[in-house]
Amino acid sequence: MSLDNQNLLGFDVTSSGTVEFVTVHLGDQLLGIPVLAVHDVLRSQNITPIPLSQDSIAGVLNLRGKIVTAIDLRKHLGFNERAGDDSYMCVVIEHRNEPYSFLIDKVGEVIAGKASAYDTNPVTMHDRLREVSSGIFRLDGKLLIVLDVEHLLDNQLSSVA
Amino acid sequence: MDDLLNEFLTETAESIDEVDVQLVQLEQDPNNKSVLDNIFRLVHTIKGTCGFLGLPRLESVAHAAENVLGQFRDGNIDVTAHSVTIILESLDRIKEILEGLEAMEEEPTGDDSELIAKLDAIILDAESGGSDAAGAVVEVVEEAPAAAAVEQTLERDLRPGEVTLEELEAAFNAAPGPEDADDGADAGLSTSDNRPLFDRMGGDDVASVAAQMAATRLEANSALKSFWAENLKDKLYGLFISVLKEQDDSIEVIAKSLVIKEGFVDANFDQMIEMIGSVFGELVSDGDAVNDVMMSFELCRDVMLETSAGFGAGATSKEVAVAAVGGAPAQKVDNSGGSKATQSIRVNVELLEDLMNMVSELVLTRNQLMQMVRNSGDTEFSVPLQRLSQCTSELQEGIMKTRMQPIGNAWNKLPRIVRDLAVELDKNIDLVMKGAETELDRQVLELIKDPLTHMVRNSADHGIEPPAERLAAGKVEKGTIHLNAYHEGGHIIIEIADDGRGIPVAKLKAKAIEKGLITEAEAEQMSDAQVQRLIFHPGFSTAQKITNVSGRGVGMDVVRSNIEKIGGTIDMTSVEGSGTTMSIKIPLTLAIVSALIVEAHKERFAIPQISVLELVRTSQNSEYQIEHIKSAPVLRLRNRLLPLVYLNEILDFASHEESGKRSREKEEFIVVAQVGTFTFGIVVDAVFDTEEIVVKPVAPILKDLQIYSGNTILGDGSVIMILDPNGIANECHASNDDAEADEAEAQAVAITQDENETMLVFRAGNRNQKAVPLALVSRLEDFDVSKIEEADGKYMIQYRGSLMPLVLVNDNCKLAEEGRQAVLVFADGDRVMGLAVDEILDIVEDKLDVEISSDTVGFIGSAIIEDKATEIIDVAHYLGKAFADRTWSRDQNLIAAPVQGTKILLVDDSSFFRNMLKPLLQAAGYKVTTAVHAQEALQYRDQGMKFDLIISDIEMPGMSGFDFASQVKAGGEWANIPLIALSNRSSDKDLSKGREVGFNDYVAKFDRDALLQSLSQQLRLRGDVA
Repeated sequence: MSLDNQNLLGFDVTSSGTVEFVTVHLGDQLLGIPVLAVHDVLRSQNITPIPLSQDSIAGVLNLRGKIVTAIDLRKHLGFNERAGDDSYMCVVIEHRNEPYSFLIDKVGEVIAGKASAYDTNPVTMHDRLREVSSGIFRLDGKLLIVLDVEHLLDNQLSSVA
Repeated sequence: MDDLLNEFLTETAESIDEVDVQLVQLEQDPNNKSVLDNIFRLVHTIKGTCGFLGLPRLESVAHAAENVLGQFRDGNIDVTAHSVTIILESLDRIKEILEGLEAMEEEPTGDDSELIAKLDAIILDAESGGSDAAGAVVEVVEEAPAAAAVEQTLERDLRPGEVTLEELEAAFNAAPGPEDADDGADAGLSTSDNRPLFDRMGGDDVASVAAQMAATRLEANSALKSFWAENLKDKLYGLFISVLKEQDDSIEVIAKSLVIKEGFVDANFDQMIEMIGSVFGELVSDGDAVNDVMMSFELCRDVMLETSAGFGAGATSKEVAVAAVGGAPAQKVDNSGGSKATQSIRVNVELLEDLMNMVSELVLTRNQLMQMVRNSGDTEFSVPLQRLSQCTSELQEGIMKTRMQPIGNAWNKLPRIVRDLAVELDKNIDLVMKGAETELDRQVLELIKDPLTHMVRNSADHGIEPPAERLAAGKVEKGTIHLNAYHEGGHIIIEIADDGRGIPVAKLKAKAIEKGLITEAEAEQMSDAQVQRLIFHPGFSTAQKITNVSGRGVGMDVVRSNIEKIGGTIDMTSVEGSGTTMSIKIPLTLAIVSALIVEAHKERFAIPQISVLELVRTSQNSEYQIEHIKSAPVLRLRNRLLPLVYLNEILDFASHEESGKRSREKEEFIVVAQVGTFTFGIVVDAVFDTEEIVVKPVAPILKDLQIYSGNTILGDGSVIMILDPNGIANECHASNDDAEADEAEAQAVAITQDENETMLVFRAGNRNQKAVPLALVSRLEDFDVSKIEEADGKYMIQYRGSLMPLVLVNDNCKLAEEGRQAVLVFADGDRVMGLAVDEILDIVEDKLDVEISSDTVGFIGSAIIEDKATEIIDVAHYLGKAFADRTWSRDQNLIAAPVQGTKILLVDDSSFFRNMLKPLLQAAGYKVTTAVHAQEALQYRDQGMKFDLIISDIEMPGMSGFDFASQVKAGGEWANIPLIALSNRSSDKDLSKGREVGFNDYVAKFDRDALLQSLSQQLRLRGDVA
């Protein structure tokens, strides 16, 4: 698949023709969120659970006076549940002017993905992952799933609606 | 041009609204000179302003309307409903054009000639001697009675007989401005040259050329050129026209827009005037006229200098002048006195909103700080924080005040709406408004505007009857709608009451069934209040036909949801025949609410204080205890049974059983909440204090959880969810309506049972108090226990020469071991039985509200009597029990057994009697169907149900038994079915009236023997006939 450098996946492309991702870990799996989409990265927070909400909604938290809805990516993507005392981190993004936070295991470095290393989703990929992935980057020794934030949250929205 | 247009739009919109209200006033009080002057002035200003802005459509409509108003003012035309309607119509047209103008910044195209012709016709009619001969206007002019013609000629010697539109226009232009309207009329016309200044100066053409020339020269002048705004030529043209036409308001407005820079001083102005003067001097020969015009330009001096100085003070003054378009602006800028210091300013609504938000955040942060300081004890921060806190509170209050507006603002449009409706529907309606000065937050005000309008419209359209119908119903011809607003404990209550026909229960019910909202079976169970509540159901309109006014599918459900959206509640009481009252309770402001913090399962939640009535603590030892009916928890609270829900269960923290078990063991806190008229208790684990919270909406992905109305950040920085009592009520019942239905049912019973019932209260078996209607008890006896005999497993006692069976209330009951045994004696024909009870407590006269019906054999249900839950026993059951072996075999001879499956319809509005008689009749072998009122029974007929006999109560709300009987006998399927009347009224007069309308027999309510006899007799008669 060829991509023109100006508009790789609709993300902002740096002058060197790469896309920068914040990598996050969910167990062994590496996920990438476009760096410009990320507003904040937080350590574990005091999260208020919301009874009766969808399972993958962890609750709401207070980010400097703003109320942020937290989504547990492990639950949402069908990973094993995090043990109670395992630490987690929050990546805050904004979707339709509303702040959301993804709960993930830990945040890694910022990686530049080259257009040449991009691949579409393999057909064998798990349905739940494929739905929220806009493609795969082949990194050295690892594969990075690009998280389609818009789609994920719209799906969240539609699945409750 | 933008600012100018904006200001024009805002001001005009305001004026138009005012004219609306005033016109309606004028119609009612045609001789009120001050109102008329006011209207005239407003319309005149509108006309004047659009004239120079180059809005020909607006100008022509306003002009035509003004002409008519002028004639009103001069007393040439009487103020009639017809002419007012047309003027209102032209105001609507003006509004329409204004809307288009606002959207597209230019006048929408359209044809107003018809409207203008109508307006002109009013004048022509009057000119023609005010003749009534419609359609023959022209002819009548010649033949008009001489007297009238003379009178008119005398009045206006300059305009005899007929005037053309052109002449009128010219006349108008000559007419003085509104300020000197009263005394200037003669002066204006008696000057040496009585042509208007506009004409003397050569009119439009000269103004246009002068503007062109003046603009070129002014822009070329090195000292002045930097001051001018863009499009100087156009602006000057507008200014010249206004000056020539002597439209002072416009002159000021345009003058303001000429300069855009500071430093424009007296000398500059003189220079400008001199240049303009020389331009006019070159163009116009009439030197006096030029001098007059140049005098008028002096009006601009102050304005222009001020405007220029304003730029020096920063851009603020310009901001201030910008109107709050769209929103309701704070206060009108006083434009009339240019030199007067302005006491109020216009502020953009957005700015206020921003301020409000900031203050909200400030309050939150303050709360947070307070909490921290409280936790760390006395520190050096305490004192300054105290001050900060106080300032914040005051600031919050101040900001809130800026947002407060009198509710009258939302009401302005109502008199007009009601008036239009009254004319259109040919009704006579009075709108009485009280408490218009009551203030509330403008955001709330905006949100309730539409629901209010809708409800008033409903009242006028559906509620108030046409005059003939009102007279027939014995009411005064004029219907009245009362609007009343007042404060009550942090809320505003708005009442809309009409004295109309009320909400027709039967019609509603039929429609609900037709629409499939409820089934017939459900309808049968529903009380009147409950049925009336159906209007809050989506897709309901009570109007029989779709009128222009209502019935467009937007119904009371929208009203309700809109009101609930802003945290308000709506309540309704309606009495068929005498009117409907809607009562709305809304919070004063939405931004900050007071909330109660509660705990469930170690999590904290907020419940808005508006819906919390009280808090109750229960425990095993306290006065209040949670009791259970089957597994449903209830609380006895003063005079009522309160249904309870467990918050733990609602939030899925615990199962129903767990919650129930807990409530039996531990102390619990109950938050008594009210949603609409439905009151219920929420059982929570703990109650903390109340806090002021800023409600923030939940994220869109949580929107579907209807038990939350939002979330907020507390003083300690944690986020907490705000529970929505509406949602909880919905959660705990299949639907909110069911919940309300229960409540309404309970109320309905209370209503239908308004007549007090005398009850005998006793105790038997357990501690619970029991009761039976005294009317059923023939005697109270007290037997020596030793006299009671046992035979065949049954207790007997010799009583008045025969053996009387004694029955126990249930198997748990025992006869007294020794001493004396209290017995209630029920006599039923020659059958006499005794019910052994432990103790006879009292005889009370009370309203009988059977609140919970019972499945237990021998009980009709529970009610509260003398503040205690009381079980009402079913006497028929015990009668059956006592005579099980021999009752009906013997009766067959005496009373004649019914043929198996004989069907009886029992119509009675009182659930007590339905409950009492149904088992009795069933016990006698009949199949019984019940109807709660005559309308329902008639529906059964229409549905083709067949009965062998009908028993009907006489006193029923809505349709009485007499009316019902005549309807049944009048024809249709049921015309030949025997009818038995059932009533407490059994005077001879009633009897004969009963027979007259078609009742075959008349039986007193408690005389069951007579009833059964009558039944078999009627059936036998019918059998004979058949």
